Amino acid sequence: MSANEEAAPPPLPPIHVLLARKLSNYDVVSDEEMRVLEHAIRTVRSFEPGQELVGVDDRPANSSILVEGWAARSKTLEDGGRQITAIHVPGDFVDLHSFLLRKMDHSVVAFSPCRVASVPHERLRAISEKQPHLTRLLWLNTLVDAAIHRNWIVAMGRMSASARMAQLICELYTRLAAVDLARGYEFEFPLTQPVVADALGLSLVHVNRSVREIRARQLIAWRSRMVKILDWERLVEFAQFDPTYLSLSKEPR
Amino acid sequence: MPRYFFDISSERPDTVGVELPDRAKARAEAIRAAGEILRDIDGALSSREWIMSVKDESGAIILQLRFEVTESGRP
Repeated sequence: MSANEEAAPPPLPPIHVLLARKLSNYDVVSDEEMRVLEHAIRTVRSFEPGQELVGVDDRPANSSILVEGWAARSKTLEDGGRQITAIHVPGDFVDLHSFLLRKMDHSVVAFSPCRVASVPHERLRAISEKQPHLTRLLWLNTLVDAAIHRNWIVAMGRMSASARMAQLICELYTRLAAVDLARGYEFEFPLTQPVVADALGLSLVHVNRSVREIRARQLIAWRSRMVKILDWERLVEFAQFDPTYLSLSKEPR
Repeated sequence: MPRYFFDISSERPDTVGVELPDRAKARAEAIRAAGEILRDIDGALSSREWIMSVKDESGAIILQLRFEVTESGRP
């Protein structure tokens, strides 16, 4: 893909196709497994920005797949401070872990208009009993969530704010491209800078400076909710981005 | 909400600024940001002094933070 290729927003596929697309980054998803996924999905609900998809202390009976829009796992402290611990894009299970963890220790909040599909936990249980390979892929899906958390910890602990910002952009572009929802090094980025500050655990002043620095280095352009990556190789180098942790290699699992 | 600007010595002036409810919040934001920025500078602070000036919308400095490195000569 060249940087100047036209980036028309790719159309959204049916939910089970989107999920299968995500899981087929890890391994082949069989036709039977596709049918099982299609059957597992029940209701689709819409959420406005700021609304909770899942609340802290909830005991959901379903796990949710983000079909459209962006959401984030978030934890609010007593003094009102908020830390975002994960950002979700379409195709992501925002709380597959609620199937076994039961009680939520954090919330999941919409950050743009979202559509969310529910998969009842009873159907996940049935999958875990009858579909060992598909179960392993779903397990891997939560392992990748954990790998993303680990990567964020390393970045927060040891990297500069601008490198972390650059890494976030590399990661989100890579994840969107993996489900064919971004191309041409350009994507819709609906998060405001205060939300980014809560995701990076930084003050707004320093986030603004970091964004200015990455722009000044001609690595990205960021205008009215669109981020354009101007030089992928240099951005990757600046961010020290190594996508290994996303496990985007199709192999027997 | 009023907008405050956070200028740092040796850098281009902040023309974007941040909206904050009041001066007390601007002060807290400045101190927190200064800590983060100094952390990122790490050992590479080249000048002896690092200053953050917080300005209001009229351009008046309402607060300054100074970080000074004083090294004694070799014994």
